[in-house]
Amino acid sequence: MRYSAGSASANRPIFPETRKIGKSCEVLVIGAGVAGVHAAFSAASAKAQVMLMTSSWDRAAALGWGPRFENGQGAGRTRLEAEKQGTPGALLRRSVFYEGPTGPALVDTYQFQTLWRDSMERKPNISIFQDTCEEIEPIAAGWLVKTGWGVTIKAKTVVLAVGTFLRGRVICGAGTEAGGRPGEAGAQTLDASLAQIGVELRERTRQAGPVIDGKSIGWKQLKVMPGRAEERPPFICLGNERDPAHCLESVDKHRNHYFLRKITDNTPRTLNGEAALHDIAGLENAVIVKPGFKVTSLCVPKELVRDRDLSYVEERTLFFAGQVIAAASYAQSAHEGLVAGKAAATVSRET
Amino acid sequence: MRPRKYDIITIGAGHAGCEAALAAARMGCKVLLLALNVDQLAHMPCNPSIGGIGKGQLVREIDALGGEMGRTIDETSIQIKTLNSSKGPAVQALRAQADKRRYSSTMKKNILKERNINLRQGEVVSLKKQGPGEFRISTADGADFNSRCVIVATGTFLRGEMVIGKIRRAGGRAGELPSNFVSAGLSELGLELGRFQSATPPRVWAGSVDYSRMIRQPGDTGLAFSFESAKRSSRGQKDCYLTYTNRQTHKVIGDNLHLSPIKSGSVSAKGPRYCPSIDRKVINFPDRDRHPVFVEPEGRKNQELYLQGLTTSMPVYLQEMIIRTVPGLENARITRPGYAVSYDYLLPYQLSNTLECLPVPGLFSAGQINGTSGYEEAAAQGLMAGINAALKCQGKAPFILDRSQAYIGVLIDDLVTKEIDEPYRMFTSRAEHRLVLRSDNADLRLTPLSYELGLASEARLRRVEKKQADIAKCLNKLHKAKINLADLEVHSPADGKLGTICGAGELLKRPEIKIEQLAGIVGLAKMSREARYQAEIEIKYQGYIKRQNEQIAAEQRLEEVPLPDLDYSRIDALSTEARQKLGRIRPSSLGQASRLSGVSPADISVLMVFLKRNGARL
Repeated sequence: MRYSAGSASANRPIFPETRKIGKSCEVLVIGAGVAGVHAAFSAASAKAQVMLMTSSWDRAAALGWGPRFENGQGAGRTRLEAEKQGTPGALLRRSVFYEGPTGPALVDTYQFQTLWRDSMERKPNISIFQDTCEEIEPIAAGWLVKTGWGVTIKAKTVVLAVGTFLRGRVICGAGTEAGGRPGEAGAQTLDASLAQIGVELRERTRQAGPVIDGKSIGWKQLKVMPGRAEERPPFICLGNERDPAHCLESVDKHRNHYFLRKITDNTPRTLNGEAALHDIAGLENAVIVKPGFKVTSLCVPKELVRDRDLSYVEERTLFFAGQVIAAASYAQSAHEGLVAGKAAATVSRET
Repeated sequence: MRPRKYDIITIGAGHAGCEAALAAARMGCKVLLLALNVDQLAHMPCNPSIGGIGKGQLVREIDALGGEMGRTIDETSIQIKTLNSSKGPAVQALRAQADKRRYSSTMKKNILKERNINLRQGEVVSLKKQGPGEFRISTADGADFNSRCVIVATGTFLRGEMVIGKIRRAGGRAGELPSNFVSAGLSELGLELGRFQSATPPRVWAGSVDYSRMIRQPGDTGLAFSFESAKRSSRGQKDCYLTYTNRQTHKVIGDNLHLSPIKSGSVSAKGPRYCPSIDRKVINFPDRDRHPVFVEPEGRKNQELYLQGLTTSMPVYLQEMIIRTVPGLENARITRPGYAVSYDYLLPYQLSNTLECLPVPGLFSAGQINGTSGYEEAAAQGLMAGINAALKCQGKAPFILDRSQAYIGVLIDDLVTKEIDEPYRMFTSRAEHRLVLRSDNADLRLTPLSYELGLASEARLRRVEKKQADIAKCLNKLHKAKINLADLEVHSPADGKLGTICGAGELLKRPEIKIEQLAGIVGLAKMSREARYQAEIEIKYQGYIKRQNEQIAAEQRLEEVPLPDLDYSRIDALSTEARQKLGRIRPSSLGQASRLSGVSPADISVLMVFLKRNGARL
């Protein structure tokens, strides 16, 4: 639709280059989860013009899979070292509210999200745009992306960090809905574009345990994490000898809510989700705050992605990072994001 | 597995839901608060502010009654100012810009502190009444809950659909899925639903805005919403900025109106008259060559700015073109596009003045679902619904505020009495008794009532009583003191009637004299600023206040005449329209009947005669 500059004061063109529909950038990062924000960070640090797209900026950098940040699992880069201010390591360190002596760190998602959102919003070469990516098509100079609200974006390189949102189906107790996490809509048409490019996709299922109200947990029956026995209630708690297969992690420093790891809540319709928990020591009277869920989504097999720079084997300008290539932890997603973002920035310079 | 039992289940944890849950919990009820997303409680999907004309009064009243909004905004505001400061106290209002994320997380902290509230994430897929005093609710993940009362506070989520241009997507808000089953549940219970629409402007990146082409709008110091806030606003507030649209803006919109969902009819629901989109402003006011645009930060550190006055749901590329015609926004980058959302709402004539659904006892409804717009209107309803649901569970008499007691009373009376055919927003002009319903005296009017309910502590009541005593002392001193005009450098009137010595009370009646000038001389320095200010208003507006109180007393007589459940079709002398309206709305008093459109004074006389003949005492 062209704007007709017929008014009296139309001596100068009012919208020079924006008369065309759409936007353009050098690196388009799709998805602002852990992988996405790290990719945007490293691409921007390499001085590329980055666009960061997400279906909900309010949910950016959300730790939707529990508060635990694993150390070292293929992610040496984002370990909890003292790092320069503003780097991913520093942002992580400031969000940690508990660090076990031998074990993992627990991260406050509100703090983590706030720090990352502030960081992304302040970088002049990152453009944030809230929308979903519906279609992606290769063109001469890179990619043409179409969003849910009808915006077209031209990008030299694309980093797909869509997590569990690629044709995701969430099963939460008795209910099933389309999405990447409960209540969050996903990219339901993007997989068709990927199939057309020839990217082979595979189904994968991930699950997350429920979040339980700390007031309803029978702490006396549970074994506290060694080293911090004086805290009541504890930050992390292992099961007792009878049920060693689960542990409870506080989601923030206030210790009101606990994420139950390793047990999923996927009970048939006739039972209240809490029934499945009532056989577990300490959880006889557990009250659920967020039910556990399973999500089945499409992901790209690791063999189709180059190890060195996480680009797609058939296309030098398409990159993947995070759970969409079956990353197993936040740390791994973060590391992959950093690698893919930097590589995408480099490649975008070559064209 | 037996379903978990509660006194009250609140569906929705927005501004209405949170106030409802907190009030009921603090009155001793066990509450289940269901939210679609427990990390997004009391979210502000539109304007990042609390207060304003009419709304500010509501927030003060919510605070005076023990609600949470006032305290929460004081803790998280980034700017606060007085509107209409050059006008009289009846229309002055506080308005604060909020840090949206902190507001939401602070409200969540307060919810988590209440032992009587269980917060739970889940989408309600079934809402049924099992019997008197028993409701059963099921969530999508298969959990069941029972309760004696239910409060529906679902905001804009009921079958919510978002629109930009010709594109429609399901959602209660951007990035969030709608709630698709509650409407069916409400319809099955016999409730009538309508469809409304609201819209929000685009957000732009702060780094792309040129403030030098805009007018700075700073905040004021020393202000707070809550009567209990120790903290008052200080320096270091964030600024807002003012700019204007121009003919170019209007031309872009005008040339492209066929693409606007409002004009093209793809949104058929009614939108808010007092919060119109820029498309509608251009259509309705073709002679105006500029409209104001307030550029507001969404948080202390946020780099997203809210463009108040540029609400639109035109296609995204047009939104960008429109924005870029505005001075200061020539290079603005959109982070989130503006959009319209349409949703089901419950026609509020079906509610009683306790916000209970007349056809479904035990079911309460509060917030935007009742056809209001605004966080403050929602919070006020949530508070009243929470209080009344708790009272019902405890078998106590309901808590009702009438039009002469509070803006909250005006709000609820308007909702249940008038035909609401567009989203309702509070204004000072809606309150006929606004001279006595001021922001500054909300605590005197309402905290004693709140104490009776158990929502205000004894200490708080004592503070209010002390303030009342101080005001009385101030008035006493002012009436007794005599002032030498020469000491004040004030001139006597030309005819010399007052002479050089004047009663302090008399002197204060003059508009140019302020109480702070007299405070030292009359010995009021030890009194609190609030008490002095109240005394000043009492004196300055004495005549008007007296008249308003007389009016209230006269109206009170009609309010006190209850209307039983009458078959209006049997009262022949009523006009047809009155019969229809009375039968549909079923007012609870003659006073409420007199406010129905279509019911004339003659009809009221007919009713009075009928009631007298049938034994009522009038």
